[in-house]
Amino acid sequence: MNNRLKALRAERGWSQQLLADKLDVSRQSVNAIETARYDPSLPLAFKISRVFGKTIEEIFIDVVPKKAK
Amino acid sequence: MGWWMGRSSRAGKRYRRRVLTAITLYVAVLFSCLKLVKAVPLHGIALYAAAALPAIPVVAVLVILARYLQEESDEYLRMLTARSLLFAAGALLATTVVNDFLRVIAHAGALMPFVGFIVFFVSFGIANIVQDMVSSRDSDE
Repeated sequence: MNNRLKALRAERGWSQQLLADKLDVSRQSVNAIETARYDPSLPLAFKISRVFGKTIEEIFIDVVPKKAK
Repeated sequence: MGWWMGRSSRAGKRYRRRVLTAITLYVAVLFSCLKLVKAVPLHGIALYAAAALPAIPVVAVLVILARYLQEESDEYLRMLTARSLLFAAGALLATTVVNDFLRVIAHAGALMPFVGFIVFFVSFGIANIVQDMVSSRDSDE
């Protein structure tokens, strides 16, 4: 799943560590989510949306696989 | 340093402290048992009990790992550790099953003592190193 975490963080001038502290997770977690190597659970996705004051859909982009023709 | 002694979260620090205690206990119990068996001629149940004692801190490390998984509130770190444990369990099972077939079909000898223990913890360490390297890739800090 793609997301706008890095862009939103950059807009606010936050470091990965600062965002990790706000979310009460490790910096590795923030890095893994930003680079789309890890999709957060629903509770963590809600926490992220609260921290940025946005809806989950505004942060996470669902990539729908194209159907084979 | 997360690869060998747990990760940098609060639960990871507790895990590290507990593992260090278990290792210290292991060394103390092992040398005490070896000394005891050399000094006193033990037989039967007493000898079995003395021989099995050093295994207790080793088993405790597995319990400590399970507790870490329970206590780790960071879901990503929890997933990394669970993945490393799966890799280690797979490596251990693969080693023993290959050796079992070698013994049954090719009449090869059994594995040396402690090979299972070494395979499990070395695989666990390797899996943690690889995952930590991948985790720190693309980091902005």
